[in-house]
Amino acid sequence: MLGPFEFSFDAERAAAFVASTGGAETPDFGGTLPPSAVVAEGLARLIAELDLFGDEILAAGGVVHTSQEAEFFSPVSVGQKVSATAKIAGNTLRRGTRFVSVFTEFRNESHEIVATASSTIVVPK
Amino acid sequence: MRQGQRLKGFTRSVTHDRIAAYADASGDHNPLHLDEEYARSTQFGGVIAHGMLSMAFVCELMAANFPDTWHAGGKMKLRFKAPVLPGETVEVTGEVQSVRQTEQGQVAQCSVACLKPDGTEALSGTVSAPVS
Repeated sequence: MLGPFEFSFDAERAAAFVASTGGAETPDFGGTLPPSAVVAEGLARLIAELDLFGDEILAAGGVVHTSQEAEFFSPVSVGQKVSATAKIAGNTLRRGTRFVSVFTEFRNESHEIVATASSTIVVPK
Repeated sequence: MRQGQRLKGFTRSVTHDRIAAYADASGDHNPLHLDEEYARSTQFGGVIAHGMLSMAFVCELMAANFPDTWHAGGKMKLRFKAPVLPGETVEVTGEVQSVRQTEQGQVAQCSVACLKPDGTEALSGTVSAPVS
């Protein structure tokens, strides 16, 4: 198992996330985080944990994100603590390319699942 | 919501500044998205936007079209098919493919895509959300 990775978005960071992805028509999320922020944070923590931006991997071509699944069960509020745990769900070599799939669960302070995500990335052999 | 209904979409410009801002906000500092010299050495030949940035656009599309249900009941399955390059504007689109009855109520299944200026799909997939 990887993690748990604990995090929260304060109001400033939540606003920065919305600004970085949004436009004039972006809805007001109020005190709720865009669900994509939760998944993005989980993925960033995983990348750090697995050292996927390490020199050796970068020199070999780096990692490429090929697919993303997610399911959202409950809104996450600005400032709310989230704990993410992950596991390697797949590690296969197909036509000379290594695909790694990581499944992540996100839970709130009450240990209820608020979201799940499955990320598939290509890593150098 | 009914089968064949187009979701209200939008366009979004993807600039170096947006990519840098997304990297800071998300914590994803992959040099493929930020370091031109490194990115030139990769299969992409230059900096590309985060796939997760396009995913965020799809999340916004769904939040706008399913404001009462997306955050608690939304589901997505997306493939990143082509890189979005700095300077490109993507069109974020979706269409209801079916509305089915479940034990929890009606659920709309939609196809979604982020289209590059030449019409190429940068991202495509299926998403679903309860119909309020």
